[in-house]
Amino acid sequence: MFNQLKFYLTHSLNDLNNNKRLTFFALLSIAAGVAAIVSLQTLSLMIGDTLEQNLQVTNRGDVRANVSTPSEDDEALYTELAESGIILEDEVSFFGQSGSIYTLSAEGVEAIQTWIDESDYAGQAQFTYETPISNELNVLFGSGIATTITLEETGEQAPQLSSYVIDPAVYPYYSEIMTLDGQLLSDVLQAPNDIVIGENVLDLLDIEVGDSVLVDGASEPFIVRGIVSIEEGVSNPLENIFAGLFGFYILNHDAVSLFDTVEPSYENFYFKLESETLTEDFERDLADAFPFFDTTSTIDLRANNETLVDQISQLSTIMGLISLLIGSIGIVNTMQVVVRRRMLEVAVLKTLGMQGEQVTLLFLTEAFLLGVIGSLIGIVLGWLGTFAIQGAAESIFSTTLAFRIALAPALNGFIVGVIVATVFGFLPTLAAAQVRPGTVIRPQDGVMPKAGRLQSLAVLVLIILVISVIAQTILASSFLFALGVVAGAFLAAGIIYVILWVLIWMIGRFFPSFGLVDLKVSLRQMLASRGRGASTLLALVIGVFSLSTITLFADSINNVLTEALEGSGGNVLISMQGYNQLDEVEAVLENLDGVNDYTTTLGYQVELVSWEDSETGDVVSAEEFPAYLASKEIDFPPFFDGTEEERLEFQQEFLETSMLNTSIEARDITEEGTSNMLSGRNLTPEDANSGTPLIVFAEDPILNELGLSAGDKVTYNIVSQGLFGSSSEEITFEVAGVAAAEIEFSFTNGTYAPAQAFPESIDPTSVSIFADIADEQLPALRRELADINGVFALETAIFTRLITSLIGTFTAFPSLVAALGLIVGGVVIANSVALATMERRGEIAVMKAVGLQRERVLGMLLLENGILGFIGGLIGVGIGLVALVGLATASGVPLDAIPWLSAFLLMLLCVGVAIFAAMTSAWAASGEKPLTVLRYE
Amino acid sequence: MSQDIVVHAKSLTKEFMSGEVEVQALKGISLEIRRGEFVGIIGPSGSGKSTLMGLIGGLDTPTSGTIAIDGVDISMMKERPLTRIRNEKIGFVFQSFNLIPTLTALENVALPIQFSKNKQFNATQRAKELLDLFGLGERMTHRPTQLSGGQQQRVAIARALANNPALLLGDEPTGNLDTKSSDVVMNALREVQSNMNTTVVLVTHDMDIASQVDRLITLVDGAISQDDARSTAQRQAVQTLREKRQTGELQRLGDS
Repeated sequence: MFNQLKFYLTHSLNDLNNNKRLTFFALLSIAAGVAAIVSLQTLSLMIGDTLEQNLQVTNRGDVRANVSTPSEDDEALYTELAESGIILEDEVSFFGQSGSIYTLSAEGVEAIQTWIDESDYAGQAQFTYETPISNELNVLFGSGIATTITLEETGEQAPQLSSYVIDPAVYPYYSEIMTLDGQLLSDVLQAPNDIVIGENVLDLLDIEVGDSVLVDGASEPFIVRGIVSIEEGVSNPLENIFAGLFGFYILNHDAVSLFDTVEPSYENFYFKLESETLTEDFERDLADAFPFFDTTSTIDLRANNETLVDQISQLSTIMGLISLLIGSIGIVNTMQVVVRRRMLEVAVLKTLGMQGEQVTLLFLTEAFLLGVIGSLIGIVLGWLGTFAIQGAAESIFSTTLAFRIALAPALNGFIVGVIVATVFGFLPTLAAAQVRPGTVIRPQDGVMPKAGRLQSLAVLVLIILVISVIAQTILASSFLFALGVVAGAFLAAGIIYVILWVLIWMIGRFFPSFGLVDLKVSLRQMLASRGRGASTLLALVIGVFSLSTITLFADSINNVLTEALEGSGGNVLISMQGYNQLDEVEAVLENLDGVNDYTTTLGYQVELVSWEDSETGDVVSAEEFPAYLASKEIDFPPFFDGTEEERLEFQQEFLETSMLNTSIEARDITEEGTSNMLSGRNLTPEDANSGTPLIVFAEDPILNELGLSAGDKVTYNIVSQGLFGSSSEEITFEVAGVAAAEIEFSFTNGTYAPAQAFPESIDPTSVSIFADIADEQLPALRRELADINGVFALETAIFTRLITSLIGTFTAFPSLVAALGLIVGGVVIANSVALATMERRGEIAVMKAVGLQRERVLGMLLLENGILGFIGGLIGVGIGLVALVGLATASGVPLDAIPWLSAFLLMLLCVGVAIFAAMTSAWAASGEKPLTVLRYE
Repeated sequence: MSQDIVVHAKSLTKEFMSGEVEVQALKGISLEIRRGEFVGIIGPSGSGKSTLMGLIGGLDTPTSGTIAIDGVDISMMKERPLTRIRNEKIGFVFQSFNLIPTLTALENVALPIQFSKNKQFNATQRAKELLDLFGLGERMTHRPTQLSGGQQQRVAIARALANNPALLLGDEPTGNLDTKSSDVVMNALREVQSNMNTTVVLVTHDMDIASQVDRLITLVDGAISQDDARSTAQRQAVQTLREKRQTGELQRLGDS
């Protein structure tokens, strides 16, 4: 027994050593997959470590509290607190929607101190806070006080900055903010007019320490005392997204006195406790004492972080496992070639008395050794990989990650790597057991046997079961669920394999070679080895599909957004509080240089009174809608996973915004509309003054289900909140048609009617202007509009920047993981080419013997793999594109929003990866001397 | 069946498909080979030599007829017991040696004992003895690629004898060797036959090799056309001629 085991091990090790090139690429296939698991898991551990270490730093204290936005039930309490002077209310308006921002007054701050002094926490808790001089809406619009700074020397401006007005002597608790030149914040923020600038402001302004800057609304200039990095200044960039994105600055509390119009108020309270053990009780007692506070403690953060780390770790492991499964295709291919090459040897061994199962065990030992060595290499590569992707991860999570070599991911990677390699190596080794010993007499006639169908099926079931056990551990789910997922994935992979096989067969068989010998040989080779070609392509397709789906989806959203903004007719969106400000704003635009054009959009808030269905004659009032919906039994939303009651509730809520309480755009119909109509027709100028006002509804899934169509009648109550109370009027519209959804930048849902349909006595509820203005005139426009209370100008490009940044943040990690998948796919190709060239040494030697140059042999190999890469790209990117086109069609997005160029580039990348991978193993093969091969092979 | 009969074949036929053509490789062959015989099988290409050897060696099964090795009927045997028969009762020597390239000479020779279910010998010790016997004591730790053709074939013979088989089958055992190495190998085989009383059956094209056997079976078109046993006097004469040729005393026509 021991001797046999020793024989298996010695023999396998010697064989791996003798076939160095083949072994190298097989090991790389496993190593790449294991490296993906190890690096991603190590990374998630590092993220976990960092988040755990920095809890108090991230939270800027043990407990953080903000005045929350009241729910309907709390409104009375807030009114009472506002009246008593504890909290301060600042009303804001945003495109016709008004709201309030709440902060604490000086009395409120005093109340907190008193509460601490009189509670058990006296002497054990201290706090600090920020003094707001602006709010997020002001930051977004780049208007209002304290959001723009101007470099006094040049007059250059940086708008949309966030401000942190703090007490530098204590802020932040648990860490020190250092300027780039190594000074403490408390040392540089001494005088009221000292300012510290965020590093990202330097993108817009060429500021240096010592410069004098003006801050909007401040009575005197500030002196720049230091520059801090985003990581130092912004504790949580995902929460303070504007500060991280547009820029920020830090002031001393005393600076508030320089802003004449700013009433002192206080927000973002940070509490530091004597002992961490007090945190839970303190948070609870604080929330009890001040019910308007939203609190976040280090305990909450830890729980959030654990969930986050768990999710990242799970995602990492799943993606790593997928990479490993891709890599295992390399193992299957390698073992197949190993068995084929050693068929005579197997026949000899069987002649000498080796039984079939011993032969299987012999090759399985080799697969096992490949798994062990490949996994060990993978662990080292994984650690190196972690080091390499650390930078990318740090920018994604906006925090410094401490590199560490962790054993748990290594162990996981090792175990999974060895199991997967051995299990996948099993199928080809079964074939080895079938080699007939008679082959030894006529080796040239030997045909590679295949394992029996039943045996193969049994092994496949075994593979699925083993992978399911691994998946069950990773997903922390039931075995049946894991089994379902794995079996589904194998089924999908199997279907794709068959498709690829057929595709390669069709291309190899029917694609014309245009008289080119090289192409002809390449096509014939593809045809001859279509099985391996298909499995290799499968690996590539999975990698490129993952990467392309993420990339194309992100690009599509960007394109949709950019198109919507470009189609909006301007680069600046102007919002005002009410219709009464329109004349004033239009006057500014008329008088300002550089205004090329502007479009005014008026919107009316309406409430449905009734709807008359022209087809059925049903008349449904707003109150009757819930019952009507129940009677119609609409299948919306599709695939709804809830009770019938919940479905009806969802439908009612959906209908609220699309029909019951919606807004209608009042349009000047000067020419016939060009909307793509799903039913009915566009409005024409003649319709403007028709007897019955006409309305065009925007496409909406639930309205489609209800059967809203041309000819229906809808009666709306037009409501207006004026200065002297509200007024309303009922109007019955006839539906002219339903327009297909268009991607446009608008604050209405796309339903419109002629402006003449609305009574003059009622003012529009929302007014917005899209203006096309020269960029250099934007500061002037802001200055002019600042004089009109509550009017803001918003650069539409900000949305693109904001969303691009968000998409970038959320897709960076999956992209990184998908890219690893593509690399593994490339390794499988390199492995496959190495195997193919090894099998075709004789053929290559003959070609060279008859006069073919090395370059041309190499060219043929690269051409063959380039074609495979192209097919892989076509399928991988194609599946992603089909999904996108389906999504775009279903959601009414024009197809030109799909990033065709990116898709093409991804295909090129796929071809590039295939060619590069092929080159790594084909170069040596094409250089072999023909005589060596023909005489001694 | 006599204890002395090592190979007993009766009405052996073998048919197989070569592409789409049905080939009748053996057409009812019957023969007996006794213990200790040194037999040669010759015949032109396609005469059925290799097929017959495959059947005698238990590498294949006949379409009809029976074949017994050392008293055991292997005609209808399944793969597992057949493998044991090959391991314990038959030794093989091939034209291209077929040593396992990743193993040393010693490991190659020890291999059949390690596979054996009823081990008669200590694998390493037996392998050393056999290699010593064939003059390869200094080459035990060498891999096949580090050995000459003659040495490789002697390792192969040693391996074939590892389990002390009743029958040693040689498929063109000198086909890849020069004259000198051929002689060394043939001498080794002759020693095996005479010292160990092992039955040796060689399939060959080489008439020089064929001239050295005790009994020569000629196959033509899948049937035995001639089965000649040679007398001691005949073999002595052949031996004398060979020795004279080696010393140059006698030359073949055309050699001068």
